[in-house]
Amino acid sequence: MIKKLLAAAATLAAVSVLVFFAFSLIPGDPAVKKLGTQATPEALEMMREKLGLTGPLPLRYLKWVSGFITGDPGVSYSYDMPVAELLGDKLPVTMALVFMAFVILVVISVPLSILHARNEGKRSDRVLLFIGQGIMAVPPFFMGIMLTWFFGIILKVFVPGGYVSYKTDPAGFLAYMFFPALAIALPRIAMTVKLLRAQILKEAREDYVRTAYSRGNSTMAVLYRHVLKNAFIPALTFLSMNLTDMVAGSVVIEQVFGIPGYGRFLLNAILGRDYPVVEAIVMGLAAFILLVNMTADILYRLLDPRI
Amino acid sequence: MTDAPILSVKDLMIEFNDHTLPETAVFDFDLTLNAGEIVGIVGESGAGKSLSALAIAGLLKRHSMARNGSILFEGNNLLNCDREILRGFQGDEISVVFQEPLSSLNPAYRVGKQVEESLRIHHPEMSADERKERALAALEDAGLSDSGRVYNSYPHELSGGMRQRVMIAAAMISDPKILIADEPTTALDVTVQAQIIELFKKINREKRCAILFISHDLSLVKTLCHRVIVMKDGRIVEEGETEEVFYNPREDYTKQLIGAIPRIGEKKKSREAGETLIRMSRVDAGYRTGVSKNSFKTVLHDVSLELKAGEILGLAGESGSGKSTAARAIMGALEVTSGEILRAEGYEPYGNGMRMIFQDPYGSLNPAHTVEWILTEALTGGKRRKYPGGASAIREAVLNALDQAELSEELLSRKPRELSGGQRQRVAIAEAIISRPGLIIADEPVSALDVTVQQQIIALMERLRDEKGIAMLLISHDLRVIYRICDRVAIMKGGRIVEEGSVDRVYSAPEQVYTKELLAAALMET
Repeated sequence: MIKKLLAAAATLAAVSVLVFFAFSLIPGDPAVKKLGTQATPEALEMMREKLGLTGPLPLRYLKWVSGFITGDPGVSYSYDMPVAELLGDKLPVTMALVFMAFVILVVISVPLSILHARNEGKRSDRVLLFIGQGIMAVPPFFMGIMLTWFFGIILKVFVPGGYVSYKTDPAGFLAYMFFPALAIALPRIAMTVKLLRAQILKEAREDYVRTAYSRGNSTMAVLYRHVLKNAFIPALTFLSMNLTDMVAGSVVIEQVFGIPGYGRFLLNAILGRDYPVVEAIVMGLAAFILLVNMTADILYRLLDPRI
Repeated sequence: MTDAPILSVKDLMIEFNDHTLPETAVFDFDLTLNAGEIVGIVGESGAGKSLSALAIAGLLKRHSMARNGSILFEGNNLLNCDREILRGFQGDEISVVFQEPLSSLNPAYRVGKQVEESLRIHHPEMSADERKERALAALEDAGLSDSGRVYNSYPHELSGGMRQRVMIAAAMISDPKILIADEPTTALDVTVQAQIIELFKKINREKRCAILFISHDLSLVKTLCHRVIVMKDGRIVEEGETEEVFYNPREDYTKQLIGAIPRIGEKKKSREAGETLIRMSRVDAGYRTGVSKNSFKTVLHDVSLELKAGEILGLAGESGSGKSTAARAIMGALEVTSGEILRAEGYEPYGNGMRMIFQDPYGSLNPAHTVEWILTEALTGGKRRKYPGGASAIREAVLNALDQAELSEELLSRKPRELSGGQRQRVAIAEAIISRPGLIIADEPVSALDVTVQQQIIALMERLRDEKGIAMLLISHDLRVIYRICDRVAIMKGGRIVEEGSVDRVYSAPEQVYTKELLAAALMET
């Protein structure tokens, strides 16, 4: 366990080096971007000084990293505000969106895959497979547009573009986030169901299932007491990969539904060469992915005694 | 010994809609099982013995098969009765022990939970403490004295023999009337096998539990069972008292089956061995398990062996004893840390002088190609164009190898899956001899085969030695097979050679305690 933590820390450190030096090497001068091409060399020099762009790189790196550790990842070039403050009210929105999508994913795909597996070979199984195949083929942004059109404009279940902040109206916020979360989750539900169904069917052919039947278990008891736990173990990796992947996927969905998460902010920061912001977001994502992977690892150990 | 019948099977007919399965049918199966009796069902693969047993245990999927006849147990026909009634018997009155204890136990749960499961299903009123007490007692009855630790273990933490004892404990916890054991010792080492057989005898004696024992191993059935049923191609060929069937078989098939068991005791003719091909002297060898410095694992300790032209050396021992590792050292696939391996010219690693044959011919033949392709590949090493003599010479060599392995020419265009187990092993032999090696290393070459097929392959290997003078290193856990074919034998344990000598000497006057134990377990005669 300690080994894993150390490995995660080392990974994070390596990412930080890569991120910092990569952004330092990208052509383009933030000072020029800020003052315009007409600025005098003296003014540019002063601006660089102010932005902390002078001095040897390793020193600047150390300063940046120590800032990160103490919770101050620098000042945004374009907004002249601390990055921590800027991201402070955007990250929770994205996290809420991703978390909701993940919950929807698990809550829908687990029972569906069990149902699916139990009806192997029957007509309902084939119909579900077909629908799943179709949903998998739809990209999330288009799914978002379809959901907005159907539920927002035709059924008027929610108001498209009517985002409310979680600070003023938590219930309204959650209600609005449901459809974007669904748009992210749906294509993945189809994939997850396909995988889980295959896992359940594979486990159901194992020898220990026959043993379970020989002790007088009913079909349901065999499924719930014996098969499911074993079938879920390989699905864990898939689910954790999905969770990290959904964070990236949310960028587009936030655009479609007009949600002020980190997505749009990241795009603007990249275009405006606002490196402190980009660096902070990239580091945040890296930390999140490591965290998810470690959690999955721990769950693995709990579920599978062989590891 | 026995009394009233508790189970009677009449005119049982089972047929699967899916005819691609190897075991698809049972016809006219009759069986009467009396209380406290042990009945054995023997036969080769595809005989329908497991299928009949699974039908009695109610473990066949009813919807995928056609069925007829009756399996009467306590007034119910298990073949057609309500599923609820069937489930009421399963695990309570009728229990099953399977072949592979590891895969038959759920890997994700502790052993104790699985041993208790029948009680939880059939006696929901029982308290958790009471269940645990019964489970511990059942584990101890099954010969697991350290029952507390086993109770809290996971299946993968136990040895093969312990796992099978766990399976037996789980089956016996509810004091069933019938215990069905489907090849329960096939996956175990001989010494463990002997212990498990003793356990079955004890269960039968002390609990008065009737046992239906399914096995392909006739000698096991002979030591354990009161009555025996011989099956072939889904039908009963012969049945009767064990002694009667073994000493006075009526049917030709039974005679053939009994005759195919390699016998021990016939004096072997001694033979002149030729020059030394490979000499291992005091070899320590092993392999790396990881990248770090201390990841080197020494498997062979102080192993000395000599392989001579024209003789067959047997390498015997239980799983994990280092037999296959020794063969890999001879093949040059292992790092030797001390001692040396001397090779005669032409017997260098990966040269044409040495070839290997493996246990599972299906897994070691490329499934995507025809027999002709496989043999051509073995001959030319993938450089078909550069082979001297061109296509006609290749064809001739392939046909010759095929003929040596006693296979007909029409198999050339077949793929491995279109061959029987025996044919596949013959193709593997043809593949090995096509480059005219002086030495063949055969790793458990007949272990996966039925006895009658086994006998044919052994005869083929003997002929290759006698006519072509090919030397062989035969690795086998089966001491009968070694006796039948080998000139000399080396017994291995824990990576060391415990005893070595001529087969006659080692079998008649073993010097080491371990050799004696192994022989006693393997040749269990009543």
